[in-house]
Amino acid sequence: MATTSIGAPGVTFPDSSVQTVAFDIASTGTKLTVYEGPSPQSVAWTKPATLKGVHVRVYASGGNGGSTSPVPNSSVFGGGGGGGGSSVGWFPGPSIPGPQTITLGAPGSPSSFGTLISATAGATPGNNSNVGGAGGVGSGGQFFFTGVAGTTGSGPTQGGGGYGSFMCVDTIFTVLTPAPNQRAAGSPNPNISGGGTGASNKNAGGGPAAGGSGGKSIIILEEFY
Amino acid sequence: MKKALISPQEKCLEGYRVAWVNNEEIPHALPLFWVNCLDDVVQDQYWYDPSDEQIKLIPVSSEPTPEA
Repeated sequence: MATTSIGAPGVTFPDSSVQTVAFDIASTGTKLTVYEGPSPQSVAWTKPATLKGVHVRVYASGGNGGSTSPVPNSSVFGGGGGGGGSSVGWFPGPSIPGPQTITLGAPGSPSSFGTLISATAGATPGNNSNVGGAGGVGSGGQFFFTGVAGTTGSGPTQGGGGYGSFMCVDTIFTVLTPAPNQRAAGSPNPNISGGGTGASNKNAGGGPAAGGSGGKSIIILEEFY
Repeated sequence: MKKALISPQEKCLEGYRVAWVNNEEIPHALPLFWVNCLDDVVQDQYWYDPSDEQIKLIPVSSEPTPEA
């Protein structure tokens, strides 16, 4: 029966393969880097000479909620922002052309790992539009996930933000209901890639009300050596 | 002149979504692509028409939102 033996020339395994040097995690292993906030942010990444490949996951930010401006004698409830899209990809080292710019998009803006892989943010509804924003999409990788669209703003509530594509986190949450003759800003989404809620304006005068900010973007980079 | 990032995978009216507007081009993966645009273009409030390669305003209704 084949066994593992230790001795010259090294460690010999049952399949007759031989390991002659100690395993060194510093030179043969993986490196995990998570890029998140503040955004927008651009980071330069240089390809190491010994790189075998990278596994990249890009989760774009959520769209901002729709804003409202006073419309005389009427009520406007902004739509929710769409959830951010995401993309997952594996790239062998030799296929990576060289340095890449890692871009973390602000809420409503796309994110990317250079020219290799990108994802667009959820859409932000137009001012005084109660239609929720569409979800963002991924491109450039092998797997793509589309964010869920924001919900429609309809009295007496504001539109809710769409689900983000990050780990399918539930990003729709309860929204405030403004009293008559009041306006309310949308709520920011605390979750990665979730859409912000829409603003509301119920027969109120004064200035516009802003939609809530979409959830932040995040990029997870695994390097293999 | 600003730059608009067009996302052909996201349909908008008869064309594509304007996913971002920025002062400069930043690297992104295909099929996303950049075009020049006017300074007043706002993302998600305009769409890209591939038939004439122009960026156009999305009509937005300002009708009152119906009460539930």
